[in-house]
Amino acid sequence: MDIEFLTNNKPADGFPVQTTPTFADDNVRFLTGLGENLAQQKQALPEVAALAFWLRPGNLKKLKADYEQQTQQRQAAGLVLHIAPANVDTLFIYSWTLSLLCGNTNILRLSQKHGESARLICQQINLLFNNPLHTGIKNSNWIVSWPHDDKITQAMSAISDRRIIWGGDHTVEHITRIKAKPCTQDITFPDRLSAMLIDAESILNGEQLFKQLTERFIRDAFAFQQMACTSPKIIFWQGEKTTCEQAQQKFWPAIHKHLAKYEKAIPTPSELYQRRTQLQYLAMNINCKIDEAFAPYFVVVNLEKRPVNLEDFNINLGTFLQLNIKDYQQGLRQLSNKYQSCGYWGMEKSTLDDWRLQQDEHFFHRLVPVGQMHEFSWNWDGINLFQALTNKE
Amino acid sequence: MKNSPVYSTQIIDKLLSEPVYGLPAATKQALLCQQLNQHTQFHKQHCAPYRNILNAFNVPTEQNLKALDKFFTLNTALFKTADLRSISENQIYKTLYSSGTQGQPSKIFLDQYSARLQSVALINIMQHWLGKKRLPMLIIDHPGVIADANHFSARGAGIRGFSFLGRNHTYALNDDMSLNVEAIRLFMEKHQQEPVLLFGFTFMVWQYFFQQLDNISIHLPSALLLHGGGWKKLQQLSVSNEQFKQSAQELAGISRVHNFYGLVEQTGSIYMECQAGFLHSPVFSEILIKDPVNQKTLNKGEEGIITLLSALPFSYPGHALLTEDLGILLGEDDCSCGRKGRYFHITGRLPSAERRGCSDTYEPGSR
Repeated sequence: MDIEFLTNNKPADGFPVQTTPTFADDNVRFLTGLGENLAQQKQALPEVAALAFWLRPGNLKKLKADYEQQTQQRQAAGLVLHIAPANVDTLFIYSWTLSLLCGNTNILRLSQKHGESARLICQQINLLFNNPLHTGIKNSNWIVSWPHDDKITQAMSAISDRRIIWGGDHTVEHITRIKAKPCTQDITFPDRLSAMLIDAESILNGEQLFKQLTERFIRDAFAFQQMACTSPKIIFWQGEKTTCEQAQQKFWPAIHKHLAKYEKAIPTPSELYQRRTQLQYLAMNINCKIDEAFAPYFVVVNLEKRPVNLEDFNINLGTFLQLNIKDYQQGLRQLSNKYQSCGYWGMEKSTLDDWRLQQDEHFFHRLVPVGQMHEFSWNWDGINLFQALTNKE
Repeated sequence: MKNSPVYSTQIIDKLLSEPVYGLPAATKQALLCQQLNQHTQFHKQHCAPYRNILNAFNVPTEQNLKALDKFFTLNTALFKTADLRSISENQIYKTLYSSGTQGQPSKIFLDQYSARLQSVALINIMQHWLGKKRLPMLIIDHPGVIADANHFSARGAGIRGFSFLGRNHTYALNDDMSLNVEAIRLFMEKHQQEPVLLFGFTFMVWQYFFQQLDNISIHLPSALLLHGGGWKKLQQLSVSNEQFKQSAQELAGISRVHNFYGLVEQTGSIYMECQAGFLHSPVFSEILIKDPVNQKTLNKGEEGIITLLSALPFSYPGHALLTEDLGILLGEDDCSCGRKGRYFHITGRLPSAERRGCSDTYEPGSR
């Protein structure tokens, strides 16, 4: 079999299943150690620092507290096969963390196109595996990759109790068609995109807050080359027309100024070509006006009216659609359940949550402040991952 | 008999009446700009997707551009994603396809006039290099390559496109890619004393002709070998243009070897390699080099993305294109071979972007 092991723990014979109690000390210790190691990697991309931060003791404690709030007693499901996406290099660790804390044995399949962050993380895991303290985890968790080969996927599926499938519609369709065990449960994450809601008035005053916004916006908007499901593709500006215009005239140049300090912030020539093709395709199909004043760093696409079927377009590599709306209801109502998250700025979460609760229809899954759009949670896309990755006792 | 739209053909007729490498820069630019302006207006009027793009990118409505680098270009990749045409469906006479190496191929829609125009343009170019008579033609490919008349690969399209330049068409390869020694021998015997034309795709000629010539002796001193289709595979094998030409000389006695560059998105506008080794723009099209990051027009000697402007696309908005090829402009009107016009090198291709979208974990169509 053409399976490549990305960590130094190739098993002698098959993939032995060895579950643990949920939130076992050994597992928490390992994950804390991984977080600490990753925090030391100063050369790494911001996504690695974000992951390290998420693995800090405080957050792992919070995860445990959240878990214990579930009323039923749960136990590990068994062996979980994770199909990691190609667009977010660090996602496999988030997926693994939750599953490990649920006591499962895990096989993590990375994309053949995985990037430098994934490689770095595997290196750090290898170092931890050298520590006898982590032998248990070393012998029941594998990070692998294999080329697109249904036979291998089938063989792995045949021993899995759960398959957690990231990577969008095509991947989900493809993998779910491959047989697993009769009792295998699939946890699937299809295509999603995200939006942002900014109150225009709120950014016209308050320089300290404005600075905060620009930093947090950049973190959310440019991570993963704007290709993650949690990446914002469209920005709704709440306010009167002139207020919105003033806000935009202040906002975009500030973002540009901030980015212009980093050469790495310019997409590669290939990416720029691709972005231009994507923009031309968008322009063929959607009524819009393209503002290239901030190219090559990013491009702003002005919409006059509500966008339909945005999920049908490739919007990334620094492409931001924007639309002025009178009030937040108008904006939020336009987000179908194809939307993963909505980041907000300049308004109260309680107001927005109250509105959501009152709606009959199901709109997007997650509402978070700008700056936290890529923060992972056990409650994802409407799925309670603690429940999904365990069985009732 | 399908109706074509009513086109205004004064300018293209003028361009086609000029010597194909004989018009000095200023004259050529003026005529070409006029035709390109006309194309922009026409395609804007008759191709809604094109009109939408120009509107979205704020391209000024009244177009009377005098400089070639001011024309708004479509990315060639766009032709893979949508049907772009300025003619109605019942005016379509011929559809050309690029070789779809990644997903969808490009689709180019021609009406009768445009199809004829492309042939005329190609003949104009090739007669300059081959003379007015049709030459016996040895095609370095196998007969199956053009088998499907309705839907064929870029190789098939290229062979069909160039076939009318020659006569006594003979295929040098069998369907299993081995040399059809009998056919080649017959061809040589029949046309011993006269000039002949060899045609094939660069990689095919190298891999299936040169590499298989060890056992048979071919001597074609009056042949012209015309080859195109890209150097990517040969670059991977570390075979240079010089080596290629050397092999032609050593293995087959061929001293006239000419590479050509062209896109299916602008069929008819091909750029031929002169004896000095440079690719030349014909009178009805032009190249420009743009900076890959800030889109500025680059000067002679600076590597960038190749922009192609052509007077030929009447039935689809393909008159100003930004390609994915990289190149360097070497000069204008002053090539040592004596031909007027711009001449350039192709240096490579934009690598395909990482495309790590959400659903790239499993590509559609993978096993």
